[in-house]
Amino acid sequence: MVRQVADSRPAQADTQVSQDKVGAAATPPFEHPWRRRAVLRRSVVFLLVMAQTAAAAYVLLAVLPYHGSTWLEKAIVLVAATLFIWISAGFWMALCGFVVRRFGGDKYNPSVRFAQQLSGDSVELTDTAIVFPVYHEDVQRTLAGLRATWLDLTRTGKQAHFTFFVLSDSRDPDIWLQEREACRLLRDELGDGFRLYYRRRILNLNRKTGNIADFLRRWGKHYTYTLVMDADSIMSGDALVRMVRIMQLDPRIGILQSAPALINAVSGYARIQQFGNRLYGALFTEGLAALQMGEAVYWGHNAIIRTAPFMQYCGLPHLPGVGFIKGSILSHDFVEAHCMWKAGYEVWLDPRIEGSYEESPPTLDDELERDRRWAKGNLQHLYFLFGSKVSLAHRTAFANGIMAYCASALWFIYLVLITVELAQFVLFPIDYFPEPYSLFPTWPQWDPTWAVTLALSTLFLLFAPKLLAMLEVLFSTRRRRAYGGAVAVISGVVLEMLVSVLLAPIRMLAHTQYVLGTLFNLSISWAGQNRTREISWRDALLNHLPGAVLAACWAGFAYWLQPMFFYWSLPIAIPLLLAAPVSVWLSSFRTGRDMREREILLTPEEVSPPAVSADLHNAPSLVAATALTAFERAVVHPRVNGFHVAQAYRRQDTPQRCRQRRMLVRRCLRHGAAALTLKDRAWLVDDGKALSDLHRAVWAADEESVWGRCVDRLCREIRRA
Amino acid sequence: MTRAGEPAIRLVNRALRYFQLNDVPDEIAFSALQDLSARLALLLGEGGLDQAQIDTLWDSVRDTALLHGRAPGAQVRPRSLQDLPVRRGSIGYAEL
Repeated sequence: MVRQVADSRPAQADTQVSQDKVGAAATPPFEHPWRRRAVLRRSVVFLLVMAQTAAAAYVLLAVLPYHGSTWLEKAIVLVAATLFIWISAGFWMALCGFVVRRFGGDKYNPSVRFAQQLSGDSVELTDTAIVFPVYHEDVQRTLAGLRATWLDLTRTGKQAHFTFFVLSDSRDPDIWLQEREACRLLRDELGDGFRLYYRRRILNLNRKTGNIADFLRRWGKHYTYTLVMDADSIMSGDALVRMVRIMQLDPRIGILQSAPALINAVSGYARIQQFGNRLYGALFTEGLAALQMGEAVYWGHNAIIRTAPFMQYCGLPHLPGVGFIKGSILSHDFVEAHCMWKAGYEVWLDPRIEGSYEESPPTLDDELERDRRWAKGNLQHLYFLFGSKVSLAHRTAFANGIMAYCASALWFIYLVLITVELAQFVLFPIDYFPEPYSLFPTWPQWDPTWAVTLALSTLFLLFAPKLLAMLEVLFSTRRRRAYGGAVAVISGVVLEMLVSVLLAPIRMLAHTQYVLGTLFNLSISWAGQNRTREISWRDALLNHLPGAVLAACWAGFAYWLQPMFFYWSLPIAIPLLLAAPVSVWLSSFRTGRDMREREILLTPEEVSPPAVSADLHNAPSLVAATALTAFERAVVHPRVNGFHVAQAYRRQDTPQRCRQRRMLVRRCLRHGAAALTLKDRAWLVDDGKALSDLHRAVWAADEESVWGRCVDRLCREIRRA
Repeated sequence: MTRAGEPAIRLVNRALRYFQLNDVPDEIAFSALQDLSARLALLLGEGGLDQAQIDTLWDSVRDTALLHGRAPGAQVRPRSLQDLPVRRGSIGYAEL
C-alpha cells in the first residue's frame, strides 16, 4: 500500500525554514541559539568536577604514606583521580537535574519550548514508520508490545499516520516462522486499519544497523519519520503523537530521544532496576539533557529520527582501525547521533516525554551478558574519542560511554595498587629515601582520619543523588502516592541501595573482564537477549565461582598482611563471595512476586497502570501452544502450510534449484526436521514448492514414521483444544 | 474387518483430521467422508486397494479441503512487505 505523504508545515519555527515535502525538508545550516547556554552549563559543571577532583587528589596524597613520592603512589593517585572525575560528574549531573526540575524543566527542552502548541491538536502529523528490529526475540512478548502500542495509538485517533514494521534478522526458522504467524494473527485480530508489515532479511549484514539501513534503503522514502523500537519497547499513543509533533515543530531536530522507563518487572532483580530507574532516573536524565541540550546522544530505541537526513548522513561504514577498532560498529547509536550533529541537525534527549517504556533484563547474569556486548561496542568509540570533526559534547558522550566500563577496570587496578602498596610496607623494609638524591628522609605515615574522610565523601557523592531523588518524591504528595506512600519509598530506596552495594563489586569484576577481553580482541557473539528466564544454580555458580575464589584469596591475603586491611576489603569481598546465591535469589520470579504482593519497590506504573501496560498484559496468545516446532507445524498443518507457501519467495525453477529441492525434501522426509541444518530448513521454508511437496508427502507418510507421528501429535492437540 | 481394510481405515481417519485442521464445515466434511467411504467400499469389493488408488483418493480429499476449508488468505490477505512498493533511496555513508 503506497501512502501519499501529506505536505506538512511546522506550526512554529525558530528560524526562517519551511518544510515543503518529504526529502526536501528544511536543510542546514541552522542556527543553534541554545549553544551559548550549553557551553556555560558545561563549563560550570566541568569546573566543579575538576575542583572536587583536585581536592580529592590532595586528600589522597595526604592519606598515602609517601604522599605521592613513589611511582606506585603516583599511579594510585592518577587512577583514583580518574575514577573520582567519573563519580563527581555523576553527582553534579544529578544535582543539575534536581535544580532543573525545581524550576519546572529546562526552557530549551523541546517539550517545554513547545508546551503550548503540544497541548492542542493544531500540529499536523505526517507519515511515520514504527520499526521493531528483532533477532531471536521472544515472539509473544515482542508482538504483544507492538499490539499494545497500536491499541493505545488508536485511542488518540491518529493511527492513520503510523505504519508498523517487524524487521526480522532471525536465522532460526522455528523463530521467524512464529514471527510471521504472530504478525498474521495480529492482522486478523486488528483488521485492515492496522498497517503491519513483516520483513525477514535473507542476508544478515551489519546486524541491527544493517537491518534498519536495509529497510530505509528500500522503503524509507515513504516516511518522513522513523521511530525505532526495541523488542521489549512499548510506547503510549500520546508519546508517539507528541514526538511526531515536536519533530514537525522544529525542523532542526534530526533525532529526538525519549527517556524510557522500566516496566513489567517480574524477577526481584528486574524490580530493583525498575524502581531505581523510575525514582532516580528522572534526576540523572534531566541533568544529562540539560547539559547535552541539542548535542545529545541517541540510545537506539524509543527515539524518532528524521528519515531523509538519517539516510543521507548516518549510514555507518566499517571502522578502518585494528583489533577491536575494526569492522562494523556495534554500538551504532552514539555514532549516528554524532553524524547527525555533524550534518547540522540537532539531537535532543527529552525526559519530559512520558509514556515511553522498556524492560530490564530479568537477571544480573543477563545484564552482564548484555554488558559484554556493549563493552566492546563502547570501547570501539575510542576511534571517535580521538577522531577529527567530533564536537566536544559528543567526545564527552563517547568518553562517558567508554568510562561506563573502564571505570570498573580502573577500580580493579586501584584495588590491586593499594594492595601492592600495603604489601610493600608490611613485607619489605621501609624506604626512607623514596626520592632519589634526596638529602632528607621521608617518614612514611598512613593517615586513617583523612582516609575515612575521603571514603565517606566518595560514598556521599555516590548516594546523595539517590537521597535527593527520594526527598523530591517525599515532598510531593502526588508523587509520593504514585510510589505507594512514604514508607514504600523509603524502604524501597534502602533496599535498592543495599542491593546496589552488593552488586557493584560483581559488576566491577565482570566489566574488567570484558574490557580486557575487548582489548585483547576475544570474540563477542551478538546473540538474542534473554528477557524471560530465571537463572539456575548451576549457571550462577559457573558464572560467579571465579570471582568468589579471587575474592577469598584477596581477603585472605589482606588478613595475612594486616587485619585492618582485611576489614577494609570486606565490602568488596563479601558481595563477590555471595554473588551466586544473590544472583539466583534476585533472578527468581517468586522473589519478584513476593515483593509485588508486599508492595515493595512499587513504581507509578504499578500503582496506576497506564492503558498501554494493561494492553500488554491482556494480549492474547500469538504463538501456538504446541509440542511441534514451528517448522514442523508449517509442514504439517494445512492452513499454516498454505499461509507460509503464500509468503514464500517466487523464484525461478532452475535445474540446480530443482535438484536442491529434491535432495532436501527427501532428507527431511526420511529423517525429520532435526536432521536438517538451520540453513536447510530456511531454504525449504523459503521455497513454496518444497514446502507444498513436503506437506503433501507427510500426510501420505506411514503412521509410524517420523512425520506420521508428527501428524498424529498435531491431531491430538487439535482434539484436546 | 479384515487386514485388507486397514489402509482404508487409515485413509478415512486421515481425511477426517485433515478436514478438521482445515475448518471444513461439518456438513461438507461428513458428506465428503461418506463419499470417500462409498468409494473405498467399492474398491475393496473389487479386490483391494493399491497405493495409486489411495493417492488418488487422498488428492480428492485435499481438493475438497482446499475448496471448502478456511484457507489462510481467504478472508484476510496476509500482507507482505513485497506489497509495499519500493522507493529506492541510498544510504549515504558517513565520513568517519
